[in-house]
Amino acid sequence: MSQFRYISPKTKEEVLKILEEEKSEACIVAGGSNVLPYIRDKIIPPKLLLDISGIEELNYIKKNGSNWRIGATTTISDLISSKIIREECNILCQAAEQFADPLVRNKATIGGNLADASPAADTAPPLLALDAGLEVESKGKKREIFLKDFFLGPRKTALQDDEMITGINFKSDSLNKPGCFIKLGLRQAMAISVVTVAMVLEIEENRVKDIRVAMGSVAPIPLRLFNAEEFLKNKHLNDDLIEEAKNKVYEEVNPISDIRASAEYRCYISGILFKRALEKLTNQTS
Amino acid sequence: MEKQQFDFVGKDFAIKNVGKVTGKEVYSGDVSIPGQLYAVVLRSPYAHAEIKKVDYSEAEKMGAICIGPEDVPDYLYNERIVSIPDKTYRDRTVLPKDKVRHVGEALATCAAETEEEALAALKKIKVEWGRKWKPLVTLEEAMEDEAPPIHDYVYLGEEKVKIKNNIACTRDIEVGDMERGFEEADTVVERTFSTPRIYHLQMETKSAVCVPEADGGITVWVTSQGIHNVRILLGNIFNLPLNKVNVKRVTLGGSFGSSIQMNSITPICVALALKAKRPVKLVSTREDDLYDHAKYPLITKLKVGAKKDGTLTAAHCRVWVEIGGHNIQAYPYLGCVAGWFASLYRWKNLKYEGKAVYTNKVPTCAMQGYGNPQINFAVESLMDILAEELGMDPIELRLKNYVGKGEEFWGQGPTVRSIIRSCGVEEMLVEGAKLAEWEKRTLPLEKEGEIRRGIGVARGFHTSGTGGPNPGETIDYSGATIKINEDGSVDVLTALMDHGGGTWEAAAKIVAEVLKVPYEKVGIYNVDTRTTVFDVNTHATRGVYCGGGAVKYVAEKVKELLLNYAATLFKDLPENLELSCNHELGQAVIYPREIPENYKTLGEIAEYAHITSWGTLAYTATLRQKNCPPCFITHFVEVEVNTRTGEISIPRAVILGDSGTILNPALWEGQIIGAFSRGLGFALLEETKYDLKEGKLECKGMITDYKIPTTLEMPKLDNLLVRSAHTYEPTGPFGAKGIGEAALSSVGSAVANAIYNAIGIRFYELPITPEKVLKAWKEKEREESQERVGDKLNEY
Repeated sequence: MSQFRYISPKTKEEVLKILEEEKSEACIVAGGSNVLPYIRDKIIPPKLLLDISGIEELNYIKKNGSNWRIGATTTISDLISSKIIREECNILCQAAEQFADPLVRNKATIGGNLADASPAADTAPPLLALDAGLEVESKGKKREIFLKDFFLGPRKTALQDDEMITGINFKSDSLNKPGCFIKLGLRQAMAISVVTVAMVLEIEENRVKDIRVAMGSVAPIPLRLFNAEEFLKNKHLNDDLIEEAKNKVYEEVNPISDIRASAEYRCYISGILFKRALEKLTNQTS
Repeated sequence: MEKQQFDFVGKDFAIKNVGKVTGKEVYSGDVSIPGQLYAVVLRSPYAHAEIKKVDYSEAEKMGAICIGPEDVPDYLYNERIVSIPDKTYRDRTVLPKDKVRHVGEALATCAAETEEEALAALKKIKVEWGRKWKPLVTLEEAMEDEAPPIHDYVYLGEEKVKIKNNIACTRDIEVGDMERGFEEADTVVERTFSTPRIYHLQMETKSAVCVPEADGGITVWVTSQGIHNVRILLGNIFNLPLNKVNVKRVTLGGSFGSSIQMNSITPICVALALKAKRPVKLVSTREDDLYDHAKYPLITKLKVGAKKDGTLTAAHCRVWVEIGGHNIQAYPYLGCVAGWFASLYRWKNLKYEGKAVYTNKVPTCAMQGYGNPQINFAVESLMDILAEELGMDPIELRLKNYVGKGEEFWGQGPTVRSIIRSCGVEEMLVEGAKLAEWEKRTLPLEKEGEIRRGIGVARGFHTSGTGGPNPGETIDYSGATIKINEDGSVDVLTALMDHGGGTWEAAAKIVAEVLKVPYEKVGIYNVDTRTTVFDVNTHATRGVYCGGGAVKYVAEKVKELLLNYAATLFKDLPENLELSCNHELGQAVIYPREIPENYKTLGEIAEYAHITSWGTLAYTATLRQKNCPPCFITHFVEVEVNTRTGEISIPRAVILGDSGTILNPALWEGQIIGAFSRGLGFALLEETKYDLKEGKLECKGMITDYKIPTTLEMPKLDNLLVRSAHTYEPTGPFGAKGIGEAALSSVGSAVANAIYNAIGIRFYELPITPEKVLKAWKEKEREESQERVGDKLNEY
């Protein structure tokens, strides 16, 4: 393992100040479930680790009317144990429950999972399906980035060197219930996904009133499937339509082959999981 | 079965290494010596490259002690010295002298006051590389005529051997007349099977700590399954008298066979300590470990002939194994594969041809079965194929042909054989079929739906130790010192290792049973080579049968001493005395037969021996078991195959084991369940894949992408039945045989057979991943739809 400096600030302001000074020299770490393996694998050369896991003000789950806000250092376990997430935003709970294993879930944070910008990040597809935005701050400046615009490539994001994610927000709308997240991995725990799908759906008289769907591990970034969504909107659901929609999915995904699966398998499975999610949600709503 | 009443055997007690539960146990990586240096290892980034020069002068300027290829002895050795010297191929030095032969091979090392300093110094070591060759990753490319030789010469015993086409060794065996056997057959089936390289992923990575002693000797703490072989090897390599090398036994954090040989880092640590003249500690990282050892893969081309009634007439078995950059006993491996093959069924006429080939990959070694799960996958798959061809039930075909009681079992290749005296094969197949509701089995064609369920059966075994009436090619004996302390407590000093499977508990129970001393009064500890007699190794499922057998022999000698001494106190003859356990007193007691009220406790007798200066009631001896009884296993496994995604789950399994008398019931069941989990990995998940260009591991040495099954992949507890056969092994300690490696041998085969029953597709290559299943399913669907079109055309 390489040598690095380590600072554990106690406030958000402190973090932003250090980021302003150190810029790309600094690497923010919260749970460490990505950063430490990267250091070990020599993927990132750390100079300064900025540990934000102790910053209380960034750990929250709030719902005000239809507005949801989740702090960046909220752990995956926090999501699972949150009653309102379970009852009112179950799609996120489903993803959290399939995330790594209990030990990692206790450390890994939602902000870290997104900032890592892995195509396989388990919380990304449900948040994309929820049309989430990211609250991003630098010293003296705040801005919001839509999650769909945040991911630029594997481990590449729209964040500037002096910026950090402080929170995630989204709105409850008629689509949000119940929502469905399906993960296919090579085993049932501690598995980086082969393919994931997250879907929210509103059906009216067997007609797709609205739908949002996102997938993981099928493209360089976690992917919203806008074409498939548009195709299904206002159409009556039947087997032929679902088959056609699957073809739209195949057109939109662009997976790679790696140690876990081939591109062909991922492509095929993306259609299968898409259909499975659609069937699951229509069965639940009907 | 012999009826025996036991006081301790077959009962569950607390484990002996309480520290494992409380976190206080000391593993080799936990050993720290005042004044020690910390060592790190420089590993090759190339798969096959000439080392021109290793320059560590800059690292030395930083105060580090360094070792390069020129500093290690020229002595060629094989790190596994279980076989006799004449049958041992030697191809390696402590660090490679001329070239590296796989990515991750250690080529230099340095030690410093802290690990950080050592790592900083390591970065200053300069390696001048010479010629680099394209890595030979596959067996086929390694055997090509123009392939660069990985080794030019090696030694077989003292004989210098030229290596041709990178073939490390071969082994051909014939029994009967194969050609005639096939002529007699009504049906002949032939298929090719392959099993992958997998990584042991034992919990503890390898570590060593070495102290150079004032008398010129060394004391070494190592991760090892056999400390005496480490002593002998270190003595040979560093030219030290064998009494000047003291190897300490340290508790193992699992091994699965990866420490039968002396770990590659052990002599590196010793070389550093000798140069530094200070204690040195060397702990492997997980990445180091993944680049250090793997399970032998196997390609098997198997042809079998049978008569209409299912009687086997002949078999032709050809196997190829690519072994990586060094030969860690591929020769006995080929022999053992032949032995497992020959002992599964009565082939009558058989021909076996085995080839081991060097490649530029991580050296392979034994891993839970030494070729057994690999060849079992081929044989047990082919038995199902044959049964279908013959229109027979797979169980009926197996019952007709299995090698059982009164027949010969090859316990460690063709030179170690003995007659089977206990056998639960029939009981397990018949009772297992009832438990698994085998008769409700449907054919693949009768199933429908997206998720298809199937059931498969396979049977296997492993040897219990490597003894036979004739010693053969393998060294096999164990020993112990047993002494009764002044209060009647007992100490067992043995080099017998425990991987975590309960060997210690078994040994303590055997002593308790012989001396009738309560189990908790029998102590067994981490000792060392200086205070123990030889024990070859805990490998080959020999811990209970051979190690326990030796312990029982010594305990009986102590009992003899005890009764003779007690006779003088009772003024009687020893044969008139009775030794039994008084559970109320919590003591062994001795009394003249028929007069139990006149008892003396063992504590009283031992104390009297002490205060009268009679001496210690103690005995030391070694023992060689002269049989290698097979412990049998039978797996009935149910699978569910998702035909849309290729995913496979295991809803239910029935597993039956035949270990003779079971000494540790709970640990025995634990071994069977643990092996089932790991067998599922072998069948469905595990493989160390290589990038063909550079010869690097695709997982980069990280276990993020080396997955083994978790508990979630297992059937729910209620759906996992484990049962024991009712057998008694007359040559074993209290009727016991082994279990460890047997438990894994037929898992992969049973899973593959179950998948066939579920979806009608036969897989010839492990692991059977969702991707492979889906691809095969799609092809089958395509073929069937073409057939349907064909059928329709035929109608016209």
